[in-house]
Amino acid sequence: MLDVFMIFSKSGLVLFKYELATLKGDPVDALIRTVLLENRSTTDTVFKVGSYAIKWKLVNKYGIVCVAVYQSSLALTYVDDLLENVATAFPRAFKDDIADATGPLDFGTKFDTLLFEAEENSRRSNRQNRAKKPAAVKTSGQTPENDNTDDNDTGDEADDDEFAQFRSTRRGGPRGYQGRKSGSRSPKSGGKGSGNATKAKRAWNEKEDMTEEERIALDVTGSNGASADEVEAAYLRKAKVYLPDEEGEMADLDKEAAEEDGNDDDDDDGGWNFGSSAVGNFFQRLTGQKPLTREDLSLPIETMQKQLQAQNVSAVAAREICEAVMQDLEGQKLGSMTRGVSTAVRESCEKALQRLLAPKRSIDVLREARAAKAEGRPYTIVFIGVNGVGKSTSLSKVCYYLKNNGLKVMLCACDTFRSGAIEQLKVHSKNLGVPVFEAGYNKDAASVAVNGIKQAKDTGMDVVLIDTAGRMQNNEPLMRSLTKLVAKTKPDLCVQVVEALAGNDATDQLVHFDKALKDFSETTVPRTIDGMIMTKFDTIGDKVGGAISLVHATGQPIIFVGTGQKYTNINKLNAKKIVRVLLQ
Amino acid sequence: METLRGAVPDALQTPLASAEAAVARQLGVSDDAALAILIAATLLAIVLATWAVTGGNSSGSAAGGRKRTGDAVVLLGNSGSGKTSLFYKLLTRHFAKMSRLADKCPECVTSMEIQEKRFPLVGANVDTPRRVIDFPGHARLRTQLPEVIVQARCLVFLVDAAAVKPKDIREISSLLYDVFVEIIRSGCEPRMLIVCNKCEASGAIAPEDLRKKLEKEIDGLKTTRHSIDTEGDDEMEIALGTEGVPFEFDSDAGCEVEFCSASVLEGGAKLDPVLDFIADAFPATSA
Repeated sequence: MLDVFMIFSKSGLVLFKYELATLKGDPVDALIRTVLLENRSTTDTVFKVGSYAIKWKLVNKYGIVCVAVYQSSLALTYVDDLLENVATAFPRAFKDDIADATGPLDFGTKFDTLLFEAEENSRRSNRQNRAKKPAAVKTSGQTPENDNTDDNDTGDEADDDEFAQFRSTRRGGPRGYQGRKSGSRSPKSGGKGSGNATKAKRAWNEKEDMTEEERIALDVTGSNGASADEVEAAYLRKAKVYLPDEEGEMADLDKEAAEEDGNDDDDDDGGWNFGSSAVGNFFQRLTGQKPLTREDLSLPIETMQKQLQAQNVSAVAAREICEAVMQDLEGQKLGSMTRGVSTAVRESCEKALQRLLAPKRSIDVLREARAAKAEGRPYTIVFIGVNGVGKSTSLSKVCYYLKNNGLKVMLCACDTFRSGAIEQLKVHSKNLGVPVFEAGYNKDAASVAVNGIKQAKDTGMDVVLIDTAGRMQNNEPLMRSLTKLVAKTKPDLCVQVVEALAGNDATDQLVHFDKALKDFSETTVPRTIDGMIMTKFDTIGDKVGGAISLVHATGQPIIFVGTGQKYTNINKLNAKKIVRVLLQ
Repeated sequence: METLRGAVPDALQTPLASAEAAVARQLGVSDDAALAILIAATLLAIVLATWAVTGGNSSGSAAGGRKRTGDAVVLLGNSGSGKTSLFYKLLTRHFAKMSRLADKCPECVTSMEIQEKRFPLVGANVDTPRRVIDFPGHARLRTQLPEVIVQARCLVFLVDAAAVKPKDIREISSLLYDVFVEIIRSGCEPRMLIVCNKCEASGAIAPEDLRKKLEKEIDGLKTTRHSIDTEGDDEMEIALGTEGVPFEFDSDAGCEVEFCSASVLEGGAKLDPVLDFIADAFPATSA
């Protein structure tokens, strides 16, 4: 069963809420914070948090989001259809109210119909899959409204005034719109299309004995005070499900629907509406009043994508950033004569990149370490990464930085594998004047780390920096042991060290390490990477796109960049400069 | 059409003719139609330009240089502090007054976009509609802070008074620090009210205690923020206050800061401090 269905605006107002069960915690806020605000919605379609699964649909044109929350143990097949239907029905009903809404809108009646219908459809197709017995249709588990909503399209009740009105409106644009919609949707899934056809047939066969109930259904919706629009739309939705495609009728209605659709965007032009003639288009383009279409945008966005990729932004990241830009600009108006499409694309891209680079969590390591000190516990950082990227060097730089700011730092040599690793760390410890904890080679790295932290606590250290053995991201046994180390030490910060020079390979390393920490973890909330250190940043010149790919891959920030051999060559990432270089 | 042409001054005849020919070529219409189009386009351009100058953004704070503040009420704060609720509370008060219904506090979720509306603020003794901007608390949107600060006449900074664990205080002061730096950088002087919202909740912090906690935390930030250089940075980083002297809101914030305790949810008298503050920010003479 669906737990909660919500429609809210991007500015945060809940426009509609259907609540069957009270949610534990705040799964919807979690969705917004970790998925929607991260611009990462293109890859996943289901978001799981706790015992909930959430599906959502953005309606960018009206700036609203539809969200369905249900128990993830249930496989609700109708959620996708329901979201799709609500996402079209809600804006249709409240097109003019959404922007000025100050509270929930009255969508309840219609939603109930849509929900019931979606459930009924999935039940029906389930039944069809099990056994093809038409007689079974009206047997089990049906709620009272069930009968009402069934077969609303028989249309033999023309004597009922209300009904006649509905019928006549239905013959107008909206139905054509629906017809077009279903027509364009069916190629997406062939299986669904054929299912619809059989369903429709059954509906026609059953219609004779349903007229009385159907009339009652209409009376009910009418007397409930639902607007004609609302009822009509609900009605049409049914028509979509039950009616077979009648080619001739649909064809000319399509035209009307297309026109209506096309004009939608122009409604609020404020008097300068020239219609869609060639001259009108020319003026609108000239004055920047014409809403941008995908076609207008595709060329400049393609150019932008190429430019990003030329600067080493990975293909996936570049594509997703450009898709975000497309979504941002589509349907917008330039609003001035001087502002070209490419400028708009550039500005939107700049915003997207800045947002991507903005750390979503504090990367002030010194401050976090001081806070831990105030709590009377050592602050721990684990450095992970493949061989030779500069883990020990970065560790020594961080050590220098923290020590210089008055913290007592201890190093912990957990690279018990590579010969000479401990000695290398000892050299650093001598240079920096900090103690190092070691237990020799061939020991279990996780227990060395745990003992190290314990000793640090006993000796009153403020920070423990844990060095780990380098490993290739595809070496499963080694990745398992790393997961164990991270799980046992519970570090405050788990940083992956990557090389700026490695380009897109660095992204690959990061993704695999992150995935390994998730996959091999034995706890329900796996400890994953909190941030990155990008080494050898001084060697890449203008090819700074790698930073974007890295941040895009996990959404975690780049905490430091290494810019040379000296202990002092450690810096914060300059997001502004990177954006500037990328878009120059 | 020739009468139309005659109305144009002689000096403009040549460029007009060539532009006309160009339009005619482009659109494949006759010369006369092209002339009509040109004239219409010119008129349209004039109208739009006028609109852009008068109706467009009138904040004009940084650009003008004379005015040191914008004209908007800006709602700031971390996620979950009640900004969007306050926004709709203020908005519905307007409607509530008109329809004689009680104002309400609609249910909200985390905002994803900056929201801006212009409406009369009932209770803040002004009849003129004011711009109110709701700035989401999520860290990803913080890069847009500068553009909002320059528009602000006053800043209402909300704090969830019931969530003031050390970690929360760190996050609140991080945002406050960014805001203060931005205020100093922009040269604007908006006034700020820090609101201990949700004062009805148990364990809600008192404004004075919050002030002390925040001052201590921001003082810590003064040293940690600039403890490490930004790679290839050519801009001067702005530091708050004086080195070695503990941070104080009164002297180092870059703007006037007040504290109060309020409840957006309960409203009524518990919202008055916020309304009074906004009213003070818009003296009657400026309306």
